[in-house]
Amino acid sequence: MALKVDEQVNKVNVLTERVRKRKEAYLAAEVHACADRSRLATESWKETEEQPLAIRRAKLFKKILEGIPIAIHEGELIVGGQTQYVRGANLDIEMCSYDDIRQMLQSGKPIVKSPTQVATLTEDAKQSILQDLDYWQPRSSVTVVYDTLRRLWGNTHDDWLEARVVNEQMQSPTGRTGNWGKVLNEGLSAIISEAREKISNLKLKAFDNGQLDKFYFWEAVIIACEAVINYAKRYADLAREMAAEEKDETRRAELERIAETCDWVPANPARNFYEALQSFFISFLANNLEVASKAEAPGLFDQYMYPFLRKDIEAGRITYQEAAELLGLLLVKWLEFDDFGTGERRTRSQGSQLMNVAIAGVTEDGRDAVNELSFLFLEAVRQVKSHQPHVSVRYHDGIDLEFMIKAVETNRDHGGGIPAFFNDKAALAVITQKNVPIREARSWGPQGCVEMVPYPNAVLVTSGPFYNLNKILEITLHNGVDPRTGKKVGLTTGDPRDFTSFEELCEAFKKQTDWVVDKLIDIYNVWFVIRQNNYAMPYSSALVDGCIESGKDMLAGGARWGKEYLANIRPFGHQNLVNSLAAIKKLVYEERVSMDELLDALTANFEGRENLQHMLLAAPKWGNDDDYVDSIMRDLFRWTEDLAKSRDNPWGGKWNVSRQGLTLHYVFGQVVGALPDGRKAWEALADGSVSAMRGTDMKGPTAVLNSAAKIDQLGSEATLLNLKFDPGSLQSREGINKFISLIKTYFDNYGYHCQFNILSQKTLLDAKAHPERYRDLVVRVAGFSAFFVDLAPEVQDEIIARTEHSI
Amino acid sequence: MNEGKGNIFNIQRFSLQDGPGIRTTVFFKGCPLRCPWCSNPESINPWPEVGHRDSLCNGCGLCVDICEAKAISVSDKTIRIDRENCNNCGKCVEVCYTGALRFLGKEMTLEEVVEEVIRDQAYYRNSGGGVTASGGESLVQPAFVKALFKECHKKGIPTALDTCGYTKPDILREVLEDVDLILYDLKCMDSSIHEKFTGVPNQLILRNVDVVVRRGIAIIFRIPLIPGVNDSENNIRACAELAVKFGEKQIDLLPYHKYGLNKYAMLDRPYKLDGLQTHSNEEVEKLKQVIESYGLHCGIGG
Repeated sequence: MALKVDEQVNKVNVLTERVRKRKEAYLAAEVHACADRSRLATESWKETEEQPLAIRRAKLFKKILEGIPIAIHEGELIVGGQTQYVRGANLDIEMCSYDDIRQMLQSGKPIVKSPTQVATLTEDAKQSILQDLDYWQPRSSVTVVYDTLRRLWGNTHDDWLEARVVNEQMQSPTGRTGNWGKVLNEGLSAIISEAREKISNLKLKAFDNGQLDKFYFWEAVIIACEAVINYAKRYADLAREMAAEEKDETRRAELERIAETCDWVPANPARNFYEALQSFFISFLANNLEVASKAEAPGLFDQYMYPFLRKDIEAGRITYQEAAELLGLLLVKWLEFDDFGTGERRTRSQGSQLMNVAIAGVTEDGRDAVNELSFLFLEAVRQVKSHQPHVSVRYHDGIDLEFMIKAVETNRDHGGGIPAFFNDKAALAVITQKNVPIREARSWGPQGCVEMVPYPNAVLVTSGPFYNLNKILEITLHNGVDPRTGKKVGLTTGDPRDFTSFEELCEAFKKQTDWVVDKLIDIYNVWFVIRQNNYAMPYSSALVDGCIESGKDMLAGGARWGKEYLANIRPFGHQNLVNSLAAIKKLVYEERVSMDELLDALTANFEGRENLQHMLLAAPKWGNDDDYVDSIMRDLFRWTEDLAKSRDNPWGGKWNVSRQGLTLHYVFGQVVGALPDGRKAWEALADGSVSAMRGTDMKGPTAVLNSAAKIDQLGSEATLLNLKFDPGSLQSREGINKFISLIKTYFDNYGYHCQFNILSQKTLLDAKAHPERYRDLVVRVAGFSAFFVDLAPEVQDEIIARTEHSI
Repeated sequence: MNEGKGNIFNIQRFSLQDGPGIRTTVFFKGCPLRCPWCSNPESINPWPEVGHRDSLCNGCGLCVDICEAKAISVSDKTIRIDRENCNNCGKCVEVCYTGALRFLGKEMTLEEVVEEVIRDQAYYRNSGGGVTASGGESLVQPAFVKALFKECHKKGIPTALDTCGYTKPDILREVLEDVDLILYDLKCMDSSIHEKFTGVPNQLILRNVDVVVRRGIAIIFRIPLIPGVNDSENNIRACAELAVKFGEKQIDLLPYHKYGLNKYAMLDRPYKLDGLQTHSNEEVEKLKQVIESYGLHCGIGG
């Protein structure tokens, strides 16, 4: 049956006065670096020293929810916040980069997002956090793992980190998707009952360690879920107190409704759309208080939320306009999430919380999942212009065309690469390879930036490492030595001047990479085991399917598809690498440049060797539909995939390979010298994994997409492709249809993801010069979005320079 | 028929303005007209020419040293080529490693062109697009364009011919065999004004409309809207009446723009319309309404 969208849906005004005020309050708010979560976590940990890990973690969570200051802000209808401030940031004190955070605090300028976002920090908070850091540092998994790794393998990992052969990923776990539909429809009390039932069915005679751990886990689940129910009741109490004081009658009624709602949900099944939104938000928020970090996915929002809207509309309890306002308020709420930038993570993800909402796609039984809420949600995103969460449209050939047009219009008007487009066909092909039945696979979505998981049956704890392909190339070209530091961090694979063929060079490069990846997987297997022995997430686990069933925390592989999705290794810098290899192949092994000249020019950063640099720049480049270089990429995909998949993870599954990159093109680029692709030293690398290096795609978007589609993407958990367009021809229906054909064609050929920054270069330059005028300008960088003015200047430059296609 | 080689100055993929769907436009070099507003001045001469992009020049002077005709000079990173003496031998292009000097136009075999246009066939299929021959004027290389269209049809790719219509009717008829759509430029209905600006009268062009119509091939007329030349309501009405007379349905307006300005400098040619103002959206919209009042469809920008 064809979808019929009520005409009111597209006419709603999301930016009501209430929503506008909340957004303005957000934009004007200072970010406060808060000590409460850290303090409460520390107190709790001291109180529970002799208890089992799961229980300790649940009690720590409970203590936070009982003690963290809360507030209801003016005009809010959906309530809850990480702190009492509109924008407050908590620190994952249990696992963070201790020395880095200490230094930041002592400087008095803790960074919340990118280097341009400094939080307000009181002296009390500073002293409190510093004390807590001293307590946690020796106890943290992060410390334990480094100590263990040094005892096992000396300084190898430290050296790699210093050279940035790899990046720092041993931090608090990120990446999870709760079964929000279950929370809304059954309430947390149903989850508590499930855990109780599990306990009562335990066979005492078979009580071994494993059984006991399950018992503790279920107990922890009960403690954690009850804590969340009581946390909601704190908001109910606060709302009641405020109502008693409130002079304005309308607001008083609103506060009373908030109180009534928070008394009922998330404990019980939501009875209407409003309760469903509140139930979702508070249980989602609580997740963030258990682990104050990123990549928690709201998931298939339109699918699980729509039945509540439909019921209310049919009963005449709500209008589309009222629903739109609520969505607007939710979007602003989502924006309010902040966290402490810790270590390299702050530059890497540029303040994005990497929350992913996936809309459209297909239902469990394979029908188009688009519904009125899909439209309404996009409309809300378009009007609010929010960048968080990421909105991902799951495309499939049977997608409602009107919706697809709406998605492109949203992309055009939003301007910040929202929504991104994902290919159901490709994802389902990848997910079902892991023996996930098609019906479960169909509720997939991207988690973090772009990595696919069958939510909520899987957890992808995005702590697998990235490795820097171009640093490894440099090391290969210097026989194991990092030319930046002069330190030997790789194998002795021979002086490349002695190589007689391109194949010999490739072999040396593979040998270096093989060695890095093999050891890196060992290192992270150690990390995963240490982490699960020292850290647990009973609440987040309770919401993920399979954990209660198995009686195991998600970090211990308890999710239904846990072992399949816990370990991803991520090569980074594909494009510069293949461009470099192609240039060497052509100029050194087919034409007249000697390896010696090339290495000299690289060392000189092309100073005085501009001629050679131009020849290198003119060599075939990825993203131009040129088989000369595309075939090198194809090989690279294949053997890096095999490297990962040949290794076991600690839970009895295999490692996966994923190709994305946050803003690592910048983080890794900073340490990589001049490259044979003509890129100068320390400049940003190419973003994503299959986008073209900026300024090198000379044949337009179809050529970029053709290059990317030539690669077998079905062995990777993600690929990432960014293209920038100016909005010109997207004004007409015809232009929009062409745009849709462009996406469809890439997806016909099993491309996985593409996103379009539809902006003018002029706008960006002006925004860089006058950030105060562009505070709500959103851009999407390598798989996620951020406010442009929050980005580091180098990242801004890079975005500006990316080739602009005219559409 | 031996099509020989084509002289092509650009093959632009993902063209959105040269007919329906996503297209690849093949730009042929050589044109019988001399419109001063032309945004592709490199399309006029039917031979490859050296062009210079001064923004890339680093002032090294290698080109000056190698030029046997002594036609090239560089001062302050600005290149000048004396076009009287330059014989387009291309030695300067070879030594210019910055890419500031390059050839505009290239001799290509049919196979080379087909190899490029075939690459986006999946996009054509999904969008209802295809291949467009443009220029310059592809009909100055009739054998080549005909062979290209034939080859496209063999591979199931729809074709469009973007033409100024100034060619012998026999040549036109030949090429039309494998054409699905004509984008037909109408500059001006008054022949003397037409001749004044483009260098040729318009009778032949108007006669050729009839040739196309008789073949039953769909036409989209396109008027490059040049301020003060052909943007009067009268001229637009005359164009609309022509379309109505032949039973055609669509006239697109291509508002004047200066995007091609830098290319004049690349070729050391003066831009004769310097200072000409572009139309406002309202002015274009008004003319669009005139066209629509004839029951015709009118797109803006092709």
